[in-house]
Amino acid sequence: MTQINEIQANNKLYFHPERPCIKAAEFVGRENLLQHAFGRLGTEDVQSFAIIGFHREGKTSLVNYIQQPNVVKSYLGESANEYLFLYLDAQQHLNDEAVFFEAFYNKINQYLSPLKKLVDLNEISDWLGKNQRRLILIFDNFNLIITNPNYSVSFYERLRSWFSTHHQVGCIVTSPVQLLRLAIPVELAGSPFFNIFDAYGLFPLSVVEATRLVSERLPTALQQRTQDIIELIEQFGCNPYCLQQAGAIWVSRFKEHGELSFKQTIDEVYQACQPYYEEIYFSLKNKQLESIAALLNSNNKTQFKIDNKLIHRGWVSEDRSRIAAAQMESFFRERMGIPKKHSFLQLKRLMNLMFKK
Amino acid sequence: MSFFNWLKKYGFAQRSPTEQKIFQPIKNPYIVGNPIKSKEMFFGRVDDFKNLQDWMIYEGPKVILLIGGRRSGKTSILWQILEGRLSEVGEAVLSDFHKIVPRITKDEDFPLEIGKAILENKKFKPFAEDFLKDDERSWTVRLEKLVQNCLTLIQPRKLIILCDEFEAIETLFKSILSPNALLWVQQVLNQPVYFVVTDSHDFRNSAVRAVCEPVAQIHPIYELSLADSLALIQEPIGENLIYQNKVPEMIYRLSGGQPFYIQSICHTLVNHVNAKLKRHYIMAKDLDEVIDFIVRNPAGHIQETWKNLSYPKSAQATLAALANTIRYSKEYVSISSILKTIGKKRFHIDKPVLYETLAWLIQNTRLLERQSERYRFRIDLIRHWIYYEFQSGEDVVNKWDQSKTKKVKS
Repeated sequence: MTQINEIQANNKLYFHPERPCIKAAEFVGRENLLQHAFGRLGTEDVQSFAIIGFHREGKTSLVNYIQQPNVVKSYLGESANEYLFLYLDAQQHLNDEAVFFEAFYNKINQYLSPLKKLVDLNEISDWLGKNQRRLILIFDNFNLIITNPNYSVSFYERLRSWFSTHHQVGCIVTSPVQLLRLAIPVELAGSPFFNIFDAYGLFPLSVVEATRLVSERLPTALQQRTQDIIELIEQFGCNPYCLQQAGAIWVSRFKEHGELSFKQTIDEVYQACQPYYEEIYFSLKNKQLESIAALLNSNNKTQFKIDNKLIHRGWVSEDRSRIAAAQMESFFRERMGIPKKHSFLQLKRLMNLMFKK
Repeated sequence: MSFFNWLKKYGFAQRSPTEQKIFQPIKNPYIVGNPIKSKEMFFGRVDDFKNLQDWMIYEGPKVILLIGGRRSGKTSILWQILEGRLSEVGEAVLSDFHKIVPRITKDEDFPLEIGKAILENKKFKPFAEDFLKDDERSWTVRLEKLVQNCLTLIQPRKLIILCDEFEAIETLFKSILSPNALLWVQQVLNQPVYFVVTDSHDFRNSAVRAVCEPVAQIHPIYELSLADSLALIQEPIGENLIYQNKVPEMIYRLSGGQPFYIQSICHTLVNHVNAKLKRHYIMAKDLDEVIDFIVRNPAGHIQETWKNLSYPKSAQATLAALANTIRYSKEYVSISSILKTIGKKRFHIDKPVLYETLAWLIQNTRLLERQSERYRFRIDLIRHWIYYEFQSGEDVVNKWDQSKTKKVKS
């Protein structure tokens, strides 16, 4: 067994860009958001909320983390035992209301009452009341339900009524955009259903969290390479998906080629992240693209008005002067046909690098 | 030592909750989104309950229609009545029309569902067998009998039927229900029975107009007074959180006295204390961080309010221009200042339209306040959100441009 295989066998954490986090130990960061989320779940009357984040931003990882018993306990203390979580993914064949409720009641009966089959929302509330339990429903990819014309307005009204009337029931929904910004029908746009949610945006990790994500998963031999870890974060930003991609490729190349592999890694990660960058590109509105183009084209970068959303999503730096991650900038330049102008500062940096080496 | 452990050692990395042993998190008592059911978390509305009580004691209007915008607290009032706020006068039962409407497919289902709602009150459970037994009586007749039984049991007190989201039934009257579905209402109104109904509109265009309007009283629900707002801000949290001078008043200004927004701000504030500040006092600058968090993570209601302002077309642009003109919380701004912003930030509204739209907003919404031709937002938090989202005319046009053309099942 090579050194790295040995380490990976002992150290259970590894990079997994192809799937969300499943175990609590795999999850990193979002402390502030988690405190707010459990703040809503922990009140006497359970309160629902929506998690809004771009594709691969970590929504499913977050809801997986929230439902881990030891996590619930660390935030809600002894009352954690009262909480039951039920996860439904709209991507998995929830084509219409009938299929939805069939899947819902199947799961409910699996978890709650194996002796008696519950087929009514009121029965579920009664069961929860009698057994002093609280039920949190997690509807992942809820945007697929909201934009599905097979779901009637009364479906939402029924759910809203249930959540707001029964204090021991609440829900968490995930969506890539704010629920009211989805292409929803006029009848639904006026529904009080949307009023029950606070929406929490998933933003990129902090640099500290990103560092933790990478370094905790690296084999010991690579953990010491602080400069490379920082370089990786500068190149790919603090988005967990890109970091997972970067880490996975880096470890794999290190196994194959040893010390020489880092620069090669950057190029390969860029290729792997390109579809993700494409998704970002297509999600941008014309106005946002225009401001990005202006940002990339100009030397005097502070004169442009940059949409706050681009900054808070971690795509543009906080000081509004550049694209937050170097490789994302390369992608935008390539995609928009804007070549890089070599400023004096950049040339100086390049010279320094050359002479250092 | 790994880089992360190095950061952690020198205090740059955030510790996990289990590691934070000094500060004890504060239990968050504030509820956002759901109606307020507990008596302890409900503040104010003393005059509203007094009016309702007097009408019932002195046999005033039989149908009391609580009218107010979304999140104004109408349903919370119903829950307070259900929990015994008017128990000296009557026994209350609650019917949530969003819950019962999907079960109604014909005229007779309406009295059946109302009967079931009455039977959810434990006191009336003994009448369930008689009401639900299989015989030839119509549900209208059975409901009449049920109401009589209930009244006999609770006399001299009255029966209060609370109807939440009453407008949900209107669509059925346009499709499957006939006026016969209301026969039970006519019968029941002759008894000492009172309806307290929440609705976004009055009965003018309603199917129940003929039956209810002659005996109805509209009762608008407004914001809380300053004193009630301050009580809601400070009392539930007690000594767990000490506010620096004027912070409660700042929360009042942000919320405009709207209980939903007070709960929302205070709820976020307590979470912020638990997540970041980890201390038992609040300063004015802490409130800025809370506002920042809320505008980045807005409640559904804020967005819904905005989305529903699509008519007149200039309403959203006018509000955005106003939000971009006001510089501090208490400021009222003149029309000329708003016009300057309109020119500078390309909101594309001319002067007459601006006058008209401001007048429309004052008359038809409770979003703005006017003081001698100067304007500001009633709920300052909405100003913050609008300013965050819409900083130019292009933002107003582009940002919320999702089309709503899709057909759905009705």
